Amino acid sequence: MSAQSHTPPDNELKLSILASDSQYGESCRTFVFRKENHTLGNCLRTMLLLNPQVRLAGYTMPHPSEEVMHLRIQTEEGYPAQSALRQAFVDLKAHSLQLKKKFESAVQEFQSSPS
Amino acid sequence: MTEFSFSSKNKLTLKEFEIVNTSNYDFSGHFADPHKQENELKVEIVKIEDDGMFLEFDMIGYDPSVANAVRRLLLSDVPTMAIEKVHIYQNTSIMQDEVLAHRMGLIPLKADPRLFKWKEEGTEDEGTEDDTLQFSLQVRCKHNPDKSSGDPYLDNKVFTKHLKWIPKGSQKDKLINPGPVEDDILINKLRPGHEMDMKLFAVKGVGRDHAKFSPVATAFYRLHPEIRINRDVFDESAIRLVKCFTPGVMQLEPTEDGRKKAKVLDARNDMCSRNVFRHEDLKDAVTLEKRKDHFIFNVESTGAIKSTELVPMAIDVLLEKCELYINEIDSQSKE
Repeated sequence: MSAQSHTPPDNELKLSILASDSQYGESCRTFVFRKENHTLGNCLRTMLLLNPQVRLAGYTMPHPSEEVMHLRIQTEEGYPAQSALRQAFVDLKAHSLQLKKKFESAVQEFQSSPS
Repeated sequence: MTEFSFSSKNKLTLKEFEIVNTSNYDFSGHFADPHKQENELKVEIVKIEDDGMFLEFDMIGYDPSVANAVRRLLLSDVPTMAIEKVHIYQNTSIMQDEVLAHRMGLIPLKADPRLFKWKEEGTEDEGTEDDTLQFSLQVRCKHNPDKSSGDPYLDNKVFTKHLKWIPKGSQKDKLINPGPVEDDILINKLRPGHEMDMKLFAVKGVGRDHAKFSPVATAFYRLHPEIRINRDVFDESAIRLVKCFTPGVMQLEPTEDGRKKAKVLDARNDMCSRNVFRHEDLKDAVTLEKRKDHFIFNVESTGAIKSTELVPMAIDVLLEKCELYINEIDSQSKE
């Protein structure tokens, strides 16, 4: 079984920033995700809200015809929104890895127990 | 006796005309203790049936956003192989070419998508041995010369068993029978003189692109119901109360003085029909609730990959996304 990517290759920039926000400093940002939806958005929002330095986190899809997601992050002074986003991804990765391990061990337990 | 539930914020209540307490306490500043969480997060497998194709498991303690992400990923982001291009050389049957081609795409294939590469856009239909699977379908309907058998026609029904796999290159060594999951899926009906001759090319794709690429018949979850009896109900009312719920959820229990009392046996299988609200006298006897952090998942595979393997594949997609974005953030911050 080759370690193939599960997602089709995409050559364009997936993550960018809404230009209007740079004047408000590092702690407020709206991030624009291409080809993402609630699957990632809601999870990220949850992880962001678990971060005590995040003041506001919300996501939206501006129009259903375009597969674009906006993620708004506002943080405390001195903590850049980008760091909050990166931390949210790191947390989500750790959380999902843990979920995967729990699932796999649950399957093994089920299959090895008699009956 | 009032039962004070300490985890009341964890349950939503189904009332007669509304559902209350549905929102999660997710606002900035209300954050859970990460150390406590580890023990409270559980995954339990309940049932594996049909040679691993049907799976029922529980996710306990998780946030609904993660449970929903797993469900959405299973439906739309885990890849499968399905027929994409159909070259029709001959089709004199009643079914139009495009309808027939559409049906061919919907046939579930046993091929494991993990053994294939993504096919690049713009390359020719024939493809390479790494990214394309080729089939051929050639059927001609004739009169049955054997007058004694009840069937006047030969090959008048075209099934998936008529699909022949044409191995490319070294595929015959690597793949075992990557054809349709079931042999008896009806594709078309013919009459004598009708002929079908076509070449089919299957590629790897995801459900987001077209539902034919979804690896699950469906994947869904529901919240674990809970039924609390507020006051004891006896005899005739008890029989009515038991009938309000899905069979097996409530049962009648004999008491010391010979009467029958209604008791909750196992609320898990209740389909939450809220039938109890149709009875004026039984409305207040029970409280219907659901546990907000207990998800009962049902995953049914179409046949290519076992459900027990599909769930980790779905989580892998999420992990890949996280990695991709972490790398993108890191590379952008260096600029």
